[in-house]
Amino acid sequence: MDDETREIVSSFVAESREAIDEVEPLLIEMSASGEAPNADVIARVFRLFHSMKGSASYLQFGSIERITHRAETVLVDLRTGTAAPTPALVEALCQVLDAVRARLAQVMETGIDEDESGELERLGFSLEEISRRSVPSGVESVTPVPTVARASVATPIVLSAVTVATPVSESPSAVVVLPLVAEEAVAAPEAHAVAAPSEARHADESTTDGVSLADLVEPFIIEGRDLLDACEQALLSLETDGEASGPVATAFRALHSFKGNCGFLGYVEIERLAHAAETLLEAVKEGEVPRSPDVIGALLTSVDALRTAVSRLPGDSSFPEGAIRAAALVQVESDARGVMGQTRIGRILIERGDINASDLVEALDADRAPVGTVLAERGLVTPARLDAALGEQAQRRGVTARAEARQVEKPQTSLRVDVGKLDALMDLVGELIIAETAVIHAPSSHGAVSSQELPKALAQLDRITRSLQDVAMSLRMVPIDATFRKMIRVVRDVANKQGKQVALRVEGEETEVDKTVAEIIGDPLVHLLRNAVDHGIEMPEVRAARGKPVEGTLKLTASHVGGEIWVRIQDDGGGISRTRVLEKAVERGLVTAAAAPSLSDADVFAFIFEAGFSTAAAVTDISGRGVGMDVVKRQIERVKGRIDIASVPEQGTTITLRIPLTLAIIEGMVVRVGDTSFTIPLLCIRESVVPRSKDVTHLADGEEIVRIRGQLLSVLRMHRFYGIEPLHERLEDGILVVVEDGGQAVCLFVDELIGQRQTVIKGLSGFLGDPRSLSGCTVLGDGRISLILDVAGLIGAVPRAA
Amino acid sequence: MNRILIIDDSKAMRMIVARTVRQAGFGDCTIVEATNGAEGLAAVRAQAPDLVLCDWNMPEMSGYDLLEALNADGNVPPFGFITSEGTPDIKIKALKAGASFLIVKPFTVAALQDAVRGMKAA
Repeated sequence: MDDETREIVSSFVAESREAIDEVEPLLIEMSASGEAPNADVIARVFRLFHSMKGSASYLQFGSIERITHRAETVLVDLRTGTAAPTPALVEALCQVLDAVRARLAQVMETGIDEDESGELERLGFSLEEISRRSVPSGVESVTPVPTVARASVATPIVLSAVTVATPVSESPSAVVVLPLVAEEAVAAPEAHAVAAPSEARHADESTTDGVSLADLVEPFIIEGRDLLDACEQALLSLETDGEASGPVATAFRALHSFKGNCGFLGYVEIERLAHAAETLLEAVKEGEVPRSPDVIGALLTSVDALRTAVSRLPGDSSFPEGAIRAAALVQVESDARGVMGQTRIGRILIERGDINASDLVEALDADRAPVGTVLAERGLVTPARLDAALGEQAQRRGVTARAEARQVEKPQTSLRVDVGKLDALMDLVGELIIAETAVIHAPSSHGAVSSQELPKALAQLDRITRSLQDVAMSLRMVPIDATFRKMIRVVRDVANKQGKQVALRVEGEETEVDKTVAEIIGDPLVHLLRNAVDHGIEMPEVRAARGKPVEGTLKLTASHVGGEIWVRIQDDGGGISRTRVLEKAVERGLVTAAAAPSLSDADVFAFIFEAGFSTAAAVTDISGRGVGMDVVKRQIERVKGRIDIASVPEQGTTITLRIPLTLAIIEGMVVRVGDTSFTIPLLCIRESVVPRSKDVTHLADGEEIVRIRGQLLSVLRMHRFYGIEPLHERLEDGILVVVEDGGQAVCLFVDELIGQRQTVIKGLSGFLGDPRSLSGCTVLGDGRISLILDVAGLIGAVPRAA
Repeated sequence: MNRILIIDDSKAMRMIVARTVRQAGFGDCTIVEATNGAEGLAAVRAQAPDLVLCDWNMPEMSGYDLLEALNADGNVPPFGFITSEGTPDIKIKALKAGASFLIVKPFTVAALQDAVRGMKAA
């Protein structure tokens, strides 16, 4: 792939993802509201599929093109009222969106679009089915769409793509609708290539302009034989020279043309086998399947079967016995690639050497019972071996699922920035250069550093530098709505699964947060919302009994509070049971039974974030989802955030995630204790006072309490806490900085205030271990180091004040 | 031909069209892009392109509405649609409104060359 194509692909993926994220919630809302389909929403969803289809077809992303085309058709039906946005149809559309998302990730990574598992085809098919059934039967009967009839109309258009060179008029009206239909035949649901006997058809039907299809059969047979011969030759030469790439390409081309001709003439069964063989051949071409004698054998068998089928034309287009078997063989071989294939039980049994391919083919032939069961019944495999293989299957599926999960976590590496912000940045850089010049020239033009110009120029430089910092930081800020929109789906899914009625209300989605924050809080939010629906909101009956509206309300809000983002999840459910959390905490030795009653609610609820503290056992009887709240907590802490919980039994729970606006820079107050400098985050400082001696009380245990504005606060002597030789010992000589966090306040006793600074946070080196209540350090203007205090940690270290 | 205006709401599609334009031998032209009909209208007024290649279905203002607006201006530059909507009635509608051609996606080099040739001949 050349650079330009890569760039096109990456734009395609980026804009498609964005559009999907945008329309998905609209779709869900539309179905939830139960109102008449919203024309605007339908138009937007239509446009999404429509744009994707156009680009996908250029980029030759076949499966994306097909699925978007089908979805687009369904949207047209929605628009015209031929289909209705039933929950089932919306669900199917959402599944399509999910699958397309996954496919986009693959396309981004590999540059090719391969529907190995046939998942998209299946989804597309069921989407159409559901769409067809979405309208009352009365309407349905008006527009009957028997597949065969449609496919026969489809024939003229496919012609242009294949090699049969017989004049057939192109009916213009067919041009748009039809390619889909031909593909539909290929993608029929029983795609497992074990073909049902003849539904092949109507080679004698006439096309619109009177050219009989029968006239085309003769050339097809002649050309078909040639193509199959060419394919066979190529395959045979492959057997002798396993390395050559030419023969594979030749065989592939021949088979591909043959398949196209079948499709055109409507020989569905033959086409299906040709398609299966082509798929396998393609895998060989791509090196995904080894050129083993087994594989080549399967391909040759299928060529033989195809030849037999062709020889019976035109009289009998039914599918010969042997061909069915060949088709199954080919299918088994091509299952060797791809995730789906690897987790098929038959494949695993073959790999383990428990059975051979032909046993499997017979079992597959048998009926629709699970293959494993059929094999066991026939005594082809012992139950013990089957169990072992099933175990392996489960394991492989687990691996696959985990691999998928990892894929989801991969953060997006590019960022969409508002042009206004970039313009502002450019303006500032321009000003910066001017200001810099002013500073450089200020001393020289006046001959003395103490000139009046220099301070002015420096002040200007300072102002611009700060603005530059603000703008640079704002570049990383993105509205949180993209993260929030994903939650609509989560809540809906969980609520549906559990038979609960939940309305999600989202507020403050325009709030901007750091891009990293927006990405990292996604997962915790999903967990918290799931928990809220799962454990929080009660079943409708329970709610009714408690006199609450049957529909639970879940509020998800974001806002700026001080220098933090508060993301709040509020449910009106059953609340968290303090008693049960305490029981569990005592049982786990997190707190003694004696101390338990004196704990505040907030302290009690904090226990649910302990690792291994199962919310299910402790709080409700519904089983947990295996996602510990400790994971949520860890992720929030990664962005220096904090979690507050408030809960009232039977009234609901509010969980607040408090996350700093930015992770890199804080406004801090630099203070001095002896010869050491500390930085206190400005957000935590309430005020600074010089105490009067009459306000200080010395307690018997040595603790000092100060009365400030009527409130009694503990004093933490920084010099004692950190073991520093101070300038002042008497509280009245130094200064008290009142800091607060989480509703608690203490006074830090320091020697003096140096001043307020914006500081860039640097981490502390790991060899320092876990220093007491320090969150990092920063370098001051004079090159000295200032330690940044972790106020929450400090407050925790102080005995609770009155 | 000096200036070609490409109007499509999909960036990927604009890149595709631009590339095809280059491959069709118009590499020397300046390519101007717009993301919907409204922007396209402004671009036509400001840039006076020698050829407009426009999508049909776009947010804000569709390609057809744009062409109508240009008609109202009395200033329709050589105008072609590149779209997935290839039904005859759409085609007729487009040509009646003064479009020189309508190419159905996938958009190929040959289709563009043919269209431009046809346009010049007319």
